[in-house]
Amino acid sequence: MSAPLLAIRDLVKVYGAPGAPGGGVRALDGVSLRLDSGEMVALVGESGSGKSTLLAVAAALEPATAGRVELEGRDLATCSRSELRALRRRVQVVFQDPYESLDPRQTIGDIVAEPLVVHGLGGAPDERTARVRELLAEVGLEPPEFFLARRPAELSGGQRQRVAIASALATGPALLLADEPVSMLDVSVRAEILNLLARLRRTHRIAVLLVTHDLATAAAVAERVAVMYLGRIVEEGPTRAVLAAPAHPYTRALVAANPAADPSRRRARDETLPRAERADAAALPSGCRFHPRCPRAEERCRADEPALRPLAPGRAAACHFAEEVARG
Amino acid sequence: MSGGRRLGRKLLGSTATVLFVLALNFFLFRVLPGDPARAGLADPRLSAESVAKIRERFGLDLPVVNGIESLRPLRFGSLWTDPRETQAARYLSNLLRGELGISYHTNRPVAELLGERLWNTLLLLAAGQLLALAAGVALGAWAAARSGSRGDRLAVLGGLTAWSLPSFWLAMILLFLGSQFFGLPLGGRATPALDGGPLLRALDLARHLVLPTITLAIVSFGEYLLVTRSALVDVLSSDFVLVARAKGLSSGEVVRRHALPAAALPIVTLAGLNLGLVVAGAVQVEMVFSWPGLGAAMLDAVARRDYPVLQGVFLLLAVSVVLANLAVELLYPHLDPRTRRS
Amino acid sequence: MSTPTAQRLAAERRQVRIGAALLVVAAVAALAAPLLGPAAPDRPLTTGDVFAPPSARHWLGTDDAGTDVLIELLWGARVSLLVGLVASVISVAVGGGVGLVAGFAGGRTESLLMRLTDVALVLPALPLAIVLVAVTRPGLASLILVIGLVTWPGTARLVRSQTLAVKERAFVRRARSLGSSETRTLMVHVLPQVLPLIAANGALVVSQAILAESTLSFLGLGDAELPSWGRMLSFALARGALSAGAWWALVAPGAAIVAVVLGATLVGFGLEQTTAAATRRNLLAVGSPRATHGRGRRDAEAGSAAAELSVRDLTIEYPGPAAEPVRAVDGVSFDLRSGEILGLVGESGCGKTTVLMSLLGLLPEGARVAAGSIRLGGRELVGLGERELAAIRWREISLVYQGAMNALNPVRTVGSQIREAILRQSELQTAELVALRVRELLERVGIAASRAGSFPHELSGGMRQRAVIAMALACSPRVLLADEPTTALDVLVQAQILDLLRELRDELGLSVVLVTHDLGVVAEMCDRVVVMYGGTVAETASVDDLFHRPRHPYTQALLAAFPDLDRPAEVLRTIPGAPPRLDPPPPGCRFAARCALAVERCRHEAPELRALVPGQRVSCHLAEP
Repeated sequence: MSAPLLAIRDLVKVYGAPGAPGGGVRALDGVSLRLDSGEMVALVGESGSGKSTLLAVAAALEPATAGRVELEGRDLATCSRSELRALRRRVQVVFQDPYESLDPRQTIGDIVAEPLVVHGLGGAPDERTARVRELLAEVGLEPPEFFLARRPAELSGGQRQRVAIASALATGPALLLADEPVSMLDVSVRAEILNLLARLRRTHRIAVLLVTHDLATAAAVAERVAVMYLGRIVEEGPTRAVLAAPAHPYTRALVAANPAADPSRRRARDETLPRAERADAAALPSGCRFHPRCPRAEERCRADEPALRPLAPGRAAACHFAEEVARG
Repeated sequence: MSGGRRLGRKLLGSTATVLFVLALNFFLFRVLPGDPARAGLADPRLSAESVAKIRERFGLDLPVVNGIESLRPLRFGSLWTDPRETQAARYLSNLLRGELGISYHTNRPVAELLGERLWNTLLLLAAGQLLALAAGVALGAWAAARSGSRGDRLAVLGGLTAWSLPSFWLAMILLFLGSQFFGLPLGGRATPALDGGPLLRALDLARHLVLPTITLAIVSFGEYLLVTRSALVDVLSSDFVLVARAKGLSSGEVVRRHALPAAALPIVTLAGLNLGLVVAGAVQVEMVFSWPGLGAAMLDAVARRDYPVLQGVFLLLAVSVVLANLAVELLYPHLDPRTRRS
Repeated sequence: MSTPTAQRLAAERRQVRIGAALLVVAAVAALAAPLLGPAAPDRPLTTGDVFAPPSARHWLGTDDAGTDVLIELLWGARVSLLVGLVASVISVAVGGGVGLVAGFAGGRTESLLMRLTDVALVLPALPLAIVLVAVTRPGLASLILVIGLVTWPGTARLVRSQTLAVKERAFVRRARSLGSSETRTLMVHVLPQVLPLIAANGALVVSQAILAESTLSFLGLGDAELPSWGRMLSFALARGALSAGAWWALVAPGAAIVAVVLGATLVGFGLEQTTAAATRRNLLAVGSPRATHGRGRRDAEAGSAAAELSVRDLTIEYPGPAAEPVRAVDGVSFDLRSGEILGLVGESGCGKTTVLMSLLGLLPEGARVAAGSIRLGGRELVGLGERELAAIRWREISLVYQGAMNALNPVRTVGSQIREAILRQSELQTAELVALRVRELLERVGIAASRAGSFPHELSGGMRQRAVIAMALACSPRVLLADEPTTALDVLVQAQILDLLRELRDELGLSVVLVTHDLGVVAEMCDRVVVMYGGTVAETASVDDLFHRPRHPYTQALLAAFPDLDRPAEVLRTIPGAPPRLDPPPPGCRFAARCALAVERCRHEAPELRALVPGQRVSCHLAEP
């Protein structure tokens, strides 16, 4: 098996003063994930699951509290400033808010060229401009000349997100970290962006880690999915398989709660949904962190935290009763 | 962070500031030009002996602090002197006893002099600020409710103009107009040799208070108006304002019951930041109206080079502002429940 | 026609220009001083002309020493402006630098700098200035330094909070993630955002500095040799101008100070306002739209008798940046039947929220109902005044807004806000009855009654939304309007809230208009659906017909773009292009530019909303039954 592009091992991230009661907020509590070259993996979770934190640590925007993050074999924690800078050419981020993630004072040309400028790539200014044109054309912003001098305020949300992607491609990265790239766009525009990401992945062999709260988005483009809950991965596997037969009660609940675009498939109201509200990451439940809301919880769940264990090749779930749950 | 811890932190911060003020106060006046003893005394014919005696009395013969004999001229000394036999120690121990020194000019204790003056200043400020606050907040709310309209622009212009007025000039104008056309007194706190009972004296006091109070009120009013308007314009873009209107509440009800309470914190914060302006206004008004308050005392002390008094007034004013700031910060949790838990 | 925002910006720029003009006049006057005569004491004294009133010889009269007030004024301008400018340059440089570094560097650097700033800020400025000036050598230089020293903390604090705010913005994070160095990010991304604020603050510091200089000069602490406005006033007071009735000696210097200070203040304040958020909606100023008289129902078709709510040919316009008004809603018609959940679906800009707000008479300032009618229980709402509308609001028709964010007032308890809603009922109620009803409502939506005393931030997103629903039910309205009630909620919580809404509808017989962009929610909840595009109704149908037999090309395209969990293999289709501008709207079908099936007729002729089959209406030329 070749070396993974991104290898995250037992990652822990705690916010807040260590002296605070409870030891601060454990946004990530032992997450392991691996991404191979050219793969698209969706990281699915609700707010407070830690998915955005994971992305921030993987992008070296925040330091880890414990655990390792390895990019192309290099441990981020042991990198010097210049090594880290060089690594940033290999991994780029696409942010959630197309209206805020582009500097309103820059032109589109400047925005897309910025990674080249920062890393000293692309050669002379006119060579850079040529490259920018290429990138704009690649993401579907044609004719590129029209967009070069525009400012973000003149573009629609979908167009801005394309600009963000074009900019992310400038240094020829091997990995794209996309944080909810379509959640702020209209439905009819989302497909454009998702399709674009899928296409780029195929043509450039770029791996994509797609963070989203929407299972449907994950289902549309990602071949693997990892479901997060309160700082841990609770289920992982090929997207189709996981959605067809979820092995963790939380995943099962997410699938059931997702409204289908078909009135004949309305959810029966009594279908077992989690009770109560999600717990606070600052006060984690004992044992299995999902047990207070789990319809199948037993004594064992309160005492014993289940590990993420393999169920089948490529599939894993963190539930004592995973096999039963998967059967339905 | 619990309420207790937050309180503790604020007190610590304020104490640190007060200590800084004390240190500043102490060192500032040791850097004076010339010998304070000679400078502070009226009589240049004093013999060297008498001067030495006076210096000893005021403790000016002691080293300033361990290691520094004097600051002007700068002379270093031994680090191993008894820390209790330094000017700094004297200063602190006096302070703890409530002694602010002896006036060079009148030879009376400074604390005694300032005690009387403090009440006069407070009296002056209380009336003026209340008036300014009421008028400023009301008009600021009115302007915010119709922001962008002509009425709003006029109100803002009025507020900006009031804010731009020099207090001393406004005082002079009002003094002129008041004394010429309304027969109000030309200054002071009371008509000298007034013969009458407490009611008459109270009325007399009121007459003397009118002009200075109006002056201070006008000067502060601009600030309150602008601050209120800015905070409210912000709040009025919140969704809950729309929901309140959807409930059928009128504009006035929405402003009173929803917008103002939500804007209370920013208003108080911004107003609190400008407490220093209030003091500045008071100093100028006291001067023009010859009101016997702390500000007037300060200016007299400057003119007479009465450094102990100057020191004492500055200390009193600075500590008052620190305490007022602390009081405002302690109000926060009551104004905005979101600040109750960090 | 310009928007209120554009008008506001124009007014602010005018403000800045007037302020700048005042400053320019002062500067010119200061420069012109030598032309009119030398400064004192070189000036010849015209003794015997003490306190002479304004005349042809002395335009502003003379002062206590017989010197011409006007000439003195002009020389004084030099001092005031010089001190003001230099002191503020020092202040802004120091304060701005400290604020930027503190805000950007963070950590210990920030704490240290801020502690220093806070201490400096608390010290009262004028007493400190008095003390410092008294202790140092009096003169212009010390005056400038002292003023600079006393004013920098204010700038520092302001700049720091602005820098902190900018630092959090997504485009700064993006720059970091690209590999931009801290210095470069600061210079290229943060500084340009903070500079306008520094400029605005700088102007305000100028006004403070000039005020401070004149005050200190007045108090005798300035440079005794140089003429200054403060000194002129000091002499006026001390040398009996008041008792001599020489008002000109009093008014002229003071007016000059006010003019210059006001000028700088107008510039600073105006700049500050223009950098503030450009679109500041005033949600207080929503209300009954100005309805055009005489325009009634164009459509002859009568509203259904059984309809709770009947909208016919509703057309709403409001002023926009272009000359023509924006026609946000154009000829919209639909009925809300008793007990049904009607979905109002569309993407951003389609007009669904405007329609919803018009049902409550809560359109923004300047909006008007150009045509159409809205009937609630048979009663016409268009044309009603504020007072009549206020009587209907909440009692007969209430609103569930997105509670997860800001629909609840953060400084009031949940219980007090529900109580406020209950008290909208006209019957007088005792405190006990009201409290009982609050409990009842909370429990009905699944919140423990004890939470009535909680503040919104103490509740989770889901509970806040439940509280908002409880509040909406307070007066037992017949119609409930829900505007994106589950957007911003997690999908599990969303499912619970939707269940709750359905239960309440079943139990209380509510009629609900549900505005959403999420087709899944529509499929889950609605009985009938209205699809909007570009301000018009594209299609109206039962939920079953809409999803299984959509007739309008837009509806079909929308469904094709919506990902389905159960059929992940299907490629998502997109709709190329963007929604049309509505000022004015295109002449033909709104969707023509993006429609794969469009023909010539579609571009010129707007289709009518007609019934193809009973219960399904489509506005498309090409739709067949």
